[in-house]
Amino acid sequence: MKNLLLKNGFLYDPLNNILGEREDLCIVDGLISEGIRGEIKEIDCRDMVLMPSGVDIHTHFAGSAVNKARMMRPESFRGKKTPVPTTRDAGRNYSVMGYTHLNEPAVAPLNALHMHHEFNHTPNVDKTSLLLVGNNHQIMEYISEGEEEKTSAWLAYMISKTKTYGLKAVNPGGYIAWERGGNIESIDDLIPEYGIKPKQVIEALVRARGELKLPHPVHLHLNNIGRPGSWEAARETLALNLEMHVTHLQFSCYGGEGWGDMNSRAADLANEINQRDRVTVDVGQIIFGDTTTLTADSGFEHYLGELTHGRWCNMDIENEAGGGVVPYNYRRKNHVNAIQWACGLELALLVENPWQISLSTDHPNAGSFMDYPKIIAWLMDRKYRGRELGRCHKSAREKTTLESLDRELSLGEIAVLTRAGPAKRLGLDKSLAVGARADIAVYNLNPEESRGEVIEKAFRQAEYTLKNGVIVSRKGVVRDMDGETLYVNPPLIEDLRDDIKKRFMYYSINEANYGVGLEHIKRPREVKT
Amino acid sequence: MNNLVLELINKPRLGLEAENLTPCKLGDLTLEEIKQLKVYEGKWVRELGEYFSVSGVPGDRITLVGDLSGIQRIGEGMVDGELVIEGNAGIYLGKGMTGGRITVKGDVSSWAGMDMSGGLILVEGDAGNYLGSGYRGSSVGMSGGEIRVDGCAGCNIGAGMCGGLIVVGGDAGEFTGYSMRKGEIRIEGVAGRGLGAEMSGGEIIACGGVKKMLPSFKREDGKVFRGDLTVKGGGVIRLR
Repeated sequence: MKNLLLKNGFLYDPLNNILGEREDLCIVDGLISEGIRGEIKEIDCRDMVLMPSGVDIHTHFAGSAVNKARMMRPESFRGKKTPVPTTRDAGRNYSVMGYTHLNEPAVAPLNALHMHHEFNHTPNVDKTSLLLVGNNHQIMEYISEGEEEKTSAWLAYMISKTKTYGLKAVNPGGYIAWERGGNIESIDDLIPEYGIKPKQVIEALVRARGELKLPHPVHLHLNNIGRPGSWEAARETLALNLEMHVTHLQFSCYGGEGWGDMNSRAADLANEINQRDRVTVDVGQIIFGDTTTLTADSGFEHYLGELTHGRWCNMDIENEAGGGVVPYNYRRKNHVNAIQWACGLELALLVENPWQISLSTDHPNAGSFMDYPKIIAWLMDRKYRGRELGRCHKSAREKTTLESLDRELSLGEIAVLTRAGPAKRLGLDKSLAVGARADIAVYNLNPEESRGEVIEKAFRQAEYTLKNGVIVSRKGVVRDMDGETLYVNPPLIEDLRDDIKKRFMYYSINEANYGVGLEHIKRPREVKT
Repeated sequence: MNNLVLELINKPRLGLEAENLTPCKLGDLTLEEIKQLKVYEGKWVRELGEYFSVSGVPGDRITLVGDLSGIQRIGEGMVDGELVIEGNAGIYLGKGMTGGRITVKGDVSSWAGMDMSGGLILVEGDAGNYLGSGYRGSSVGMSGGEIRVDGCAGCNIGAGMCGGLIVVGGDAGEFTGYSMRKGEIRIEGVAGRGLGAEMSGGEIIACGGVKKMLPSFKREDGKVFRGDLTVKGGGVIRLR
């Protein structure tokens, strides 16, 4: 492996407060170093921007639900862009855009093996995954019995068994309610059978996360998402002011009583976030066009399936979670879709601290990750998003505040939104400091550039993407390399043998077959908690 | 008229992808070049000459001889010219064709005329399923052109059809014209159950009647039905 010298680039490393300094970067043995030695390859980065490589905090790119979405839509694989690409394409397309770390945010413990096998076939990116626990029957039982210690212990047991990285709650209690014909509309509704509130579940999970010292805070998909009036549940949850990451908040920005009088409450939620410092969010920006939605929020997918009259599939994962898949087409001229589109941008522009918000499309729910460059361009160029706004249904102008927002994000802020922020929230070390791993993206972009078209083009194809000091993508030409799978191994704090024995009476597999062994993971790396 | 004759000498063990077999793609080549054309058998790259003996003069007409039921995608993307198949044809015959004429003396397998937007396919034998429909999962089927089958056809013919004409001389299977939007399907024999399910437009004529009419169609007068009401459709089914 040759050592690299990246010359004359503009460095952007928000973590170390470097914003546009012109410096040479030396890479020795895959690490950023003080000086250069040995066999050298020089790369001229004149007029180019160097950043740590991208981190996607929320993207469904592997696992059984993703695979169901692939199977369900064979026709989507024709043509250039598919909403749910194959594992290999996902890894490669991400590295073309300068991303090298992906976080798969929803895996049911029983499906972890499948996900790890798909991870092994996703090249060029490091991977982390979050375990679905918000509707787990054992956890619900413990919480309703007030067993705090045992809740943490069971979570630790599941995480260490499945080699995952953190906790995810999808519509806490909502799946259990939907299974029984109900729905949860606010965090104070009662979860049937267990008689507890989603609020208690969230609090218990946040507490357990602290106790287990997991690197990523609880990743929360809110209750009552995607419906008019959903902003109230979002506000209540944000007001709890707990250490958590609220994901694809755009889907919870809607006010109004029904679809007809739906409007945007993104400003209120952004205001709520600006007042709190412990909560972070990601956007979940809508991209117009055809996509496949997949989420563990079965109730919502059922609702959407009824709405679209199209294909719908539901998964029930025994004792643990649910999931659904529905194809959907976001249309510019649709009143609801246009508001949804505007909501996401409003959020990204109104949250003042860029460290509190990350860029995502909740791939593939709101759109494909391949369209991140478009969102970056919309955020950086007011005229560019104005043009898109002009093409939308008039509701996007009348029912939201987007038209009045003049803010344009700087390149430094974009670097926070797409890499530094999510990396910090995931507990990863992504920087350009000496000693850091050389995961770097080089974009052919002048830092002074303000035209949206040019920005979009530059971010669409990184000039170079480096992973561990190796060039994995050069102007769209990709070389495959295995990434690592990061996992945590929290210690079991209590003896659960009796409970495990009892719970596995309700599983269709026995305990010896539960979980994933390290032999299934190509390049595992344990992260110390 | 120039006529290129390809006669099957070795039957492929797996499906042979023969998307090159159209007059437009072979018309300007020499016989030697045609023999060396790359084709896929399963995942293996082979030469066309390993399967076919090539004779005649390349031009705007190709005659294929033999049982080609294992050969897929014949006449894919055909623009003009004529293709005559003296025998059976495999799946995806005339896929995405926009013009020209394909005549099959035997039977065709499923997915014939998939996504076609123009041209003519004549089948003297029977046709398989998904005749003139779209790609698996796609809601849009054939949008133009004409398919005439002298024998019977399988299930789901004309699914998602957006234009053009399908004529079946014999009986048709279940779910003919499923979710069709425009165009015409004419069945001389008996149509299977589920005729016109979820159709939103277009016309189906079933001369031999239907095995079982869907309840979601409204009888207009005599033997004319309008529906499918589950999708508030305005399609017409005429029974004779």
